[in-house]
Amino acid sequence: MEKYDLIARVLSNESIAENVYQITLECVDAALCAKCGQFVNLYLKNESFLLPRPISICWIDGAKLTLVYGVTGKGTKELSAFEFGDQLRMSMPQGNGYDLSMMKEGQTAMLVGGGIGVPPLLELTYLLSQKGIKVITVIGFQNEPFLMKPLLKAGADLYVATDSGKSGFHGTVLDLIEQENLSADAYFACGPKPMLRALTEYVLQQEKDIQISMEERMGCGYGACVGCVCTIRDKSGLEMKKKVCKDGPVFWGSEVVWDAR
Amino acid sequence: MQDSTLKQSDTENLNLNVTIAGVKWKNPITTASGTFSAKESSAFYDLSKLGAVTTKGVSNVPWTGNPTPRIAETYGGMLNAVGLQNPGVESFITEEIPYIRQYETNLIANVAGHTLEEYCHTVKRLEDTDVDMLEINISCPNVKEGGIGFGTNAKMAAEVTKKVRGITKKPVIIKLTPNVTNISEIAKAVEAEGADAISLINTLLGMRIDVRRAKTVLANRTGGLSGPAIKPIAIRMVYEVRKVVSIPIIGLGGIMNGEDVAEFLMAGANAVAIGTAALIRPTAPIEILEELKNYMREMGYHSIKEIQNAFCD
Repeated sequence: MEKYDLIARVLSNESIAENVYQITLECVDAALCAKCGQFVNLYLKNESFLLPRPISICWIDGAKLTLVYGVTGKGTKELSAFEFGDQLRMSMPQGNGYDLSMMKEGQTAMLVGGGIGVPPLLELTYLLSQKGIKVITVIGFQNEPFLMKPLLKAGADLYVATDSGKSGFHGTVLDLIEQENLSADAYFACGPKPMLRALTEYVLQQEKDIQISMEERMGCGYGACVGCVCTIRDKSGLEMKKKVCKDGPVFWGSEVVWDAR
Repeated sequence: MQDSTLKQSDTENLNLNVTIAGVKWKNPITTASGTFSAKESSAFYDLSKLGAVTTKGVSNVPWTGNPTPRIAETYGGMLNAVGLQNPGVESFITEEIPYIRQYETNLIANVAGHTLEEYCHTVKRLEDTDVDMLEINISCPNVKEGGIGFGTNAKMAAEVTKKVRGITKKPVIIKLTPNVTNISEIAKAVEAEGADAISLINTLLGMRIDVRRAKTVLANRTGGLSGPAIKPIAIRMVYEVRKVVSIPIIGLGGIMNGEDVAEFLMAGANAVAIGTAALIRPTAPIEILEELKNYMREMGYHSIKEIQNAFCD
């Protein structure tokens, strides 16, 4: 049976950039079955905020899960006020993570993240590095980068871009990839839809595989409400709506139909 | 120790059975269409514990639904504009019905359509299946043609009911919309044409604007408001409709706990459906059932009828 009522203990919860927080939770049941690319639903105490907040898993360490989230509204504002020792209700890890099985030792993987899509790349960088894979991690932000040190520590060959030019390369991650002439055997990405689309089209032109983590506004986060969907074209060419929370959030870039209504 | 002994003996005296349009339910709780997905929900609890399950709207052919974003949270509620995405009645018959039939509960198929013909096609296809009851959705605010169009006009609501009643032997529940001026008039019209029961309410048409982006939050612009924010409206409508019809009413709209169920029963409902609560707590339908039992023990009620009869107006 799946569980949505796991009790996590807050070990730390701190700001790591403007309106970006990092929370570390102790919850053995969730951490032991967590996979890179999955998310958890966090349930707030204020009952006027009905829906759970789905947050991607950034780092898995024994019984601990680290999540990085943006404070974008009243719900995440409440989340940012949790302190050491507080208890927080959460679900078991949801959705399907990245598939690393096709990557072989000695190959190169490129991980591309944008904004609040960067956190899942930390665990991914670490796992691929541990497999003996060269990991090029290209991350983009509007203004203020975060998670740079942990990514370097996890084994990333790190490239940073910002829209504002405040830090790193001035421009998009795709501009940076092209300028640096970076390439890889396979690609993994998480970030805003325009970035995912541009990157996917670029990678598919080079006839390489790309896995992308899609984001969509969720209701239940466990597959009941069908609020979060994206259009997928299967190998036979048939288009269908898939649930981002249950069938994703990670999909093959080649199967996503971007212009579907 | 004493408490648990007392509860144990009380449990034996609780009679939660209800009969809705001739179908016996072991308790008065079902799921609300649109918030229930058999495979996903059964990952969290045993569906056999419910009086019935009500499936998502099923149409004659697969529907792709509306563009995203389809969900917006509101204070004490949520808006959805899913648009009845579903794989169509053939898939429903081969996939959904056998899956639910593993469980010992009644199966209510919610039927959606753009036209009278579409409703009739789906109802006919379901006639030879072992679906226990049909809930006809003439109240979805997110479907441009059909849907709510049938539910806001007494004549059209009556016409759908008459057509469907004429082609099926299964009990027919008509699900009404609250987006009308006179709910009683529509309830009477569908009862007169042979509806066996009424579900009310469906969601209220609502809208949210993101004032930082100066855009609507939902791609569809408007959506259906559900959750505890709408419960007083649902209670009022059940109360009004109870006065004018004699057929059973399945009440729904923002039920979050056992006492909310009691409130619907006192207003005149015979059974209830749990919707938005199950999106927040997947096990809400069975938790609310337990809360209802606790409420009955605490208040000394032994049957659902007793709760209904206790209401003094």
